[in-house]
Amino acid sequence: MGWLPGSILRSIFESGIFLMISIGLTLTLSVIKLPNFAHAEFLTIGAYTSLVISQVLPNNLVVIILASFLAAAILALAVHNTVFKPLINRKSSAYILVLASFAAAQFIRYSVFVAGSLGGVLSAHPRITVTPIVYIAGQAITNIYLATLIVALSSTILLSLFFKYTLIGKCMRAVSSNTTLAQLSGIKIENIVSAMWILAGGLGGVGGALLSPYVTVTPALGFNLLLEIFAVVIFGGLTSFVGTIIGSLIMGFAENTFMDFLNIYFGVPYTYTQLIPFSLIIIVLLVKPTGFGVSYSANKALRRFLKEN
Amino acid sequence: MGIYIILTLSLNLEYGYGGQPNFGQALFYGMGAFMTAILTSNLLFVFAHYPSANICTITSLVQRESIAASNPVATLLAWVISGLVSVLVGALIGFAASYPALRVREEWYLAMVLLVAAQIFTIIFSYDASLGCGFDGIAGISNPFAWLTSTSIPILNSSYAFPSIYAGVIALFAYLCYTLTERLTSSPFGRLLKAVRDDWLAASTLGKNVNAIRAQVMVIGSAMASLAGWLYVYYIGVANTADYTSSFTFSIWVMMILGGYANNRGAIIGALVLTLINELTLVGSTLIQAYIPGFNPSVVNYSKYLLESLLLLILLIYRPKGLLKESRIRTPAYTVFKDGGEEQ
Repeated sequence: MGWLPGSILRSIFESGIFLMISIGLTLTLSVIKLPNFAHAEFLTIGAYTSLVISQVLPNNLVVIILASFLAAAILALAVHNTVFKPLINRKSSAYILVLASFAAAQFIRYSVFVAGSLGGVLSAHPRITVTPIVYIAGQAITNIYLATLIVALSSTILLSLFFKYTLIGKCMRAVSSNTTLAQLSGIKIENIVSAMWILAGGLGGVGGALLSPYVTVTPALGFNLLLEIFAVVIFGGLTSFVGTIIGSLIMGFAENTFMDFLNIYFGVPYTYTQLIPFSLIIIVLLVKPTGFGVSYSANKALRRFLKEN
Repeated sequence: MGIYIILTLSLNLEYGYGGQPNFGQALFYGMGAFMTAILTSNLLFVFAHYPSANICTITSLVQRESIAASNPVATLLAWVISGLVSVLVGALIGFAASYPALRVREEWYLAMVLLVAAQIFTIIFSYDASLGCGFDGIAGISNPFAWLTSTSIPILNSSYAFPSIYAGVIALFAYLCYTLTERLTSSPFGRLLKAVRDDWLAASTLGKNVNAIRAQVMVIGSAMASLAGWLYVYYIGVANTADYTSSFTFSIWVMMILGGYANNRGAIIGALVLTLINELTLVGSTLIQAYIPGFNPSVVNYSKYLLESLLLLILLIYRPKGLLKESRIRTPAYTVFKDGGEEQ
């Protein structure tokens, strides 16, 4: 069982990453009900920002994280204003929106490909040194590991505080549960949606930046993780933050500890790791399409309240 | 070209008429292709009385090519049988895929399920060497008319006779598929499809079995996609998972949206325009490489995808119905009515 502690630590780390990269999509889905396939591109942009910034300021994690938040947030706003806003205003069907987000994703991805091949950074490593800080059960806990955990936990806590106590957070919840009513009560939907895109894109970018020291940064980085992100979100029932947290834990452990287990005891090769998110998506969609999370839905709360009385 | 036309027609039937967003077109296409490659390489050995061997090795590849060049009966027989089987398999998978399609809750879940299924297919076929020879794919599937070179007929044994004959065969199949979809969509079945697409609830209250209709259209569409896969493998000579990715599905979607939603002629035009763009970027990249030394040719290659996605975005935002509008149904009664109108 010597593999277990290392494997569990890796699982926790990946869960943190999964949480960071998928919580933005949960936000998008709950506020404007858009399955945004371009979400993964925010990661790519975050990772590339970290690559660029780390050339100038190596190892400055705070600056890198802030910069990638900013870059991805700007991109998200741009995508919203050019693509999604006109389509949503015309009340296009869900398929058209999915297709448009696919097209936007491809456009961003290949723009990065072109920029990357012109700049010679099609596959590169950012200048962030990974140094071990503590050892637990013979396993190194690195600075990035700690940073990921801290950022993931603090952003989750901050997000929930943001939704509970700030006005804009409350407005966002209102828009999420009933857009028309929210509009009637004087909430400027457009501003709320823009704020949502900034948060969603920015969090995705931070996720990409945290991921970048561990992997080779390529323009297809985000796209390769796309279905994993969707697996996490679908598992959590699309709109629930608690569900997304559970989903990312499940994904993190399934892809590491569970896969190690299968590999060691049943000889399943690691190349099949990719099948886990896919099977998860199909199973959840067919068996329990509502997911396993609790959502912030006011309707549901009201119904429960009425039922009890 | 003809292959793309078939694929676009099948997607148009599924999405344009049937309202089923098939984001897993690559799955059906790839399944047809791999079925063909596996069957052909095994059948050739059986028909030519060779001892059966591992189909992935280079020696078997050479043997396959030599059989294809010398033994017309075995080649044609393998060609026809693999075609029939891959269409059947495509239809079966389409039926299986319609199972989740009828049960998922939100609209775009079906898109998700099919996308994921296509991805699973790619992963399994590229990592499991026992199924389709892994990453390298199955190579050495010769043109079914390659044996013509060894005959003594004067024109037919030249080196470009057999590719042109095969191109003709592909065009013939594309024409057949066009006729089939045109007939289907003009028939009462086509009207039913549109009814289900626009309002499945209303259609079901009128006593139509919505689930059965959705399953039928998926079966027809995926059988057509598999047919295209079969034709493609014999054209390109190799079945490799790298050809059946989600970006490929995306191209087919662009072709369909470009040509016009629920319009078979539009689908053909879309396929033609997009293939033209692809060819132009290819030519462009060669030209640029020739005139500007040191220029990175992959940039032009990427620009193909950029163009494709930009085109789709512009279309979706400014012209969501595509180049041609949704066509009127052409039935015999309609033509009679139209002619009568002109006489009066």
